[in-house]
Order: sequence, then structure tokens, then C-alpha cells
Amino acid sequence: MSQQNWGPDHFPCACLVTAGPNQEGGRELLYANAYAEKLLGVARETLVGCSLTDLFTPASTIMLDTYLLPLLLHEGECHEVMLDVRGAGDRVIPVIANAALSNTQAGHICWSLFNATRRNQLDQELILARRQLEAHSEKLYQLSVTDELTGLVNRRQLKRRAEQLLAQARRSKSPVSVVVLDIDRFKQVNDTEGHLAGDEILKRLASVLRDHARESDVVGRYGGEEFSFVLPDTSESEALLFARRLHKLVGTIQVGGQPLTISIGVVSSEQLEHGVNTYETLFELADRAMYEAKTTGRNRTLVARP
Amino acid sequence: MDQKGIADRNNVRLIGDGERVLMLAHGFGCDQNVWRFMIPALSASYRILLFDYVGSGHSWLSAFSVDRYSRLEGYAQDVLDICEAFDLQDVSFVGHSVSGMVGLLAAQRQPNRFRDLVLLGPSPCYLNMPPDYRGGFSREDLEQLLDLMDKNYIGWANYLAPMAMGQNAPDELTGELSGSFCSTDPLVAKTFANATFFSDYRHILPETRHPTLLLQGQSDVLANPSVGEYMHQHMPGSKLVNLNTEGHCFHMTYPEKVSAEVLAFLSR
Repeated sequence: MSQQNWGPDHFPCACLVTAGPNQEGGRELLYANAYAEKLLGVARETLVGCSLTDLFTPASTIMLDTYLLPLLLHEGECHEVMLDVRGAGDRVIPVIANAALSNTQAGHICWSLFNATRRNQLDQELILARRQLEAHSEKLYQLSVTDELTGLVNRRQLKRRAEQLLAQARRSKSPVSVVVLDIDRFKQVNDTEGHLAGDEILKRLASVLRDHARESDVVGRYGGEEFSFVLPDTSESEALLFARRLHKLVGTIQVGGQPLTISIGVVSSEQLEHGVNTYETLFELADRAMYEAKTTGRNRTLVARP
Repeated sequence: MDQKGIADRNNVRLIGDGERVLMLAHGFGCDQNVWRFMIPALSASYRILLFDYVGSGHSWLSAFSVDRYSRLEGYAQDVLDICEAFDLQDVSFVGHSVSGMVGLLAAQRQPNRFRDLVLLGPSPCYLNMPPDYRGGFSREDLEQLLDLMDKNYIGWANYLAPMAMGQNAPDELTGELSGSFCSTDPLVAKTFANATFFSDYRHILPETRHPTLLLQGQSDVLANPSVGEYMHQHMPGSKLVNLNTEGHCFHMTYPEKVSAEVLAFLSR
């Protein structure tokens, strides 16, 4: 065996010691090993006396102050933190940092920094892949909740959002109203003007409905020529006012020289016993009222009476 | 939510039995444990209220929503929810880092709940806004921070979770605790980082109505001395004290010094 004194200068990672964080000059570098010189491309004499802040990039300084140092002070050590150090000529070198608070009175911090250039490349690729997947999944999500023709939410999402709003309303004990509407004599439009014209009318109606909805309301296409609103924090009388304005607005759409008309059914959760006011029940009641409005003359609103 | 609900949601803890309530609000990154070194000095004469913002520490991760917590107003609502649930009036609010602005927002929303504010290393805006405001960071620096956070959370099991579950995921997780001293949930941490570092609340400074102590660290990179000076100039009735300390976490590294300043201000 040789008599060589093994020490930090033999190790292939940067070993640094900084002053205790609660000491005067608490971020000062007190020691750097040979590998630190090599990694940073800076002579040891220059490194010693530097501040931690000079050693790391601004982003890494924030990680240091909001994550690494608090963790170190709380738990005494921390592991595998990815940071970027600044080498000679403003070269940025990604490193994996481990740090430990020493038991000395002064509370020095001992650091080991491992060059992580290749691991960093892998991380970048992972981040990119994740972002692409996120965008992809967001796109699929939007497709799954949107009605393709009108751009309103589809029946599935209508039901889902309605249930969320009803749950909130139960907690805050506020009323929710459901409005169901259907275009009058739409079959006739399709038969005389053709399906494309029919689609165009559905689109224009959807745009009127969307404009009429308040920010907190949900409006969706239930199917065919049937649409529905869920109106949070809305009483029966307010929902009736809402429906009245709706008749007027829809009348601005012209079909074959005639104003478009709709029949509307309205129901408010106030009318129902607590616990029975599920979206399914409310929709069914409003839907029935809407059909009654159709059979009793169309172009009118009826309120459901459970 | 009732008192129990809010207490659980925000992991509220009360220490000491002084008459006046001192609400201690942690900053971005960690949780209420950052106050542990100051509590002995403060709890001798005050009732200390500790809490974790939703998404941090042992709060309810299920109560997190990107919508609410994308802006500091959402965090201020946590503070106000706690005040309401515990029927607090005349609170002295002590906030570190981003909690400085959170406290200011809360105090401006419901002035009667608060008596005074102590802000440790606050900043109304971390971005440089040339020519006359130097928050300390360029937009590029802060984008790199988000990148670094991503890299650091890659190793955590739930790194892929937000993506796999779609945008409404957190609402659907129930009863799960985030539970470590420094936040490691990528969605929560990045939402908090965005709300903190890309915001500019300089416009609310002149609306200050409460006596406010600003504690400014001498070599704090996150909130540099010119930021403290800027805040002091724009906040009526504020008092600026420069501390001869290193770094941003001086409530952990210099607890005696900071406690002494806080106590002196509160008993003014």
C-alpha cells in the first residue's frame, strides 16, 4: 500500500464548503477541491471567497433560497437537487447537488456537485415529451366534451357540469334553474331548406345562446335541435325572465323570411325536495314542460310543476 | 366550510395562549415549519396561528384548483377563510416572501380583520421593469426556474399524474395530503411559482391602510434592497428595517434577530 493521503482532490465530483448560513458572510465559499476547478474552469483561488449567488444562475438561486436551503436547515441534508452553475465565460453547467449541514458550531455546509450534462439532456427530452402529451391530452379532452357542429358543450359535459353546479348549490343553499329548449318545426326546415341550411340554423342559434349565457351558466346541445341551460344561483322567476329574453333574441334569426321560434321548459331546484334535485330529475321535468309548450301552441315557455 | 373544515384544509395549528393573534404565513416552496425557529420567542406573548396554503405542507391537496391558485388573490382567500372560520379580528399578520403580498391583498379586502402587518423579504414584482424598477430577474431567468422545477420533480411519482388525468384532475383526487416540507407536487408548485414570480402587484402598494413593518435582508437576491426601498416609498405608514443578514430565509437563519424586530414592532 502506498502512503498516499487520499482526500477530496481525488474525487470526481466538485466538493465545496460554504460558511454557515447564519454566520457573517454566510454564503461565502471557503473551500473548493480540484474537480471544482476543472468543472467550473475557474482557479481555486478565485473560487474561494466567491458567494453562492455568484456560483449559480439566477433561476438556481431561487431554487436555492426557496427549496434547497430551507430543506437543509429543516432536515440537515438534501439530495439530488438539479441546479445550474455558472462556469468560466458564463458557461452554464447542469449539476446534481447534494448538501449537508455540518455539526460544527459555525454550521458550515458541505456540497457535492455532480456534472449532470447528459442527464440534463434526458430531462429536457422528458419535459418536451410531457408537454406534447399534455397538449395532446388537452385536445382530446376538448373533443370529448364539445359538440362538433355548434361548439357548445355536448350532452355528456352538460350533465357533468350540471352536477358540479348542483353540488355547489346544495352547499351554498342557492337555487339552480334548468332551461330546456327546442326549435319549433325544425323538421320542416330540414325538409324544405335542406340539411345544410338546418345545420346553419343550429349554429346561429348556438351562437345566440352562447351570447345570452352569463359566465357562470352552462349551455350545451342536448341532441338534435334540443339545447339546455343550467343557471346557477337563479330562481324560477329569474329563469322565466331569462326565457322571455331568449324568445326575443332567437326571433332575430330569420328562416325563410320568418323569425325562428323555440319552445321552452323551465324548472327550478327550489320546487323540489332536497335530495331529489339531481340533474336527471330537473332535466326530465323541464323537458316535459317543453313538450307541453309544444303541444299547447309552440313559441312559449312553460314552468314545470313537479 | 366550518371551522373544522378550514382547519383541516389548511392544516391550521394554534400555539400559545396570548390574547393577540399572530398569523404566520409561509412563502413559496415550503410550509409552516419554516417558522419553527421563531416560535419560542413569539409564542411567549402571542397566540400563534400557523397554517399551510392549500397545496403546501399537510393541507388538502384535493382542495387545490389551478383556477383559484393561479393568482395571489386565491392564497389571500385562504387567509381570509381562516380568519372567518376562527372569527379572528385585529390579527397581526406576519408573512414571509410572497406571503407579504398575499397578506397585503387580504388586508385590503377585509381591513377590519387586521391590526398590522409584518412583511419579511416581500416583493411586489420579481421581474425587472425598466427603467425604474429592478425586481431582480428577467423573464428568461424565471422561465428557467420553471424548467428547473420540472427537472427536479421528474423523479417524483406524480410527475406524470396531472397529464394523465387531464386538466380537472386535482378536483377528482380526494383526501390526499401533499405532506412534505417542501412542495414536490409539480402542478401545485408550478402554479404557485407562476402566481408568485410572474405577477406585478406594485399598484396595490399605495392602498396600504395598516401599519406595516418591512424587514429587508441586506444580501437577499430574491428581494433585493432596492425592492424594500421601493415598497417603503409607495406604502403609506410603512416602516423599513434593514437587517444585516444573508439570504432570503432569514426567519430560519437569524430567528432571534428577526423575532426581536417583529416583537418590537408589535408592541410599539
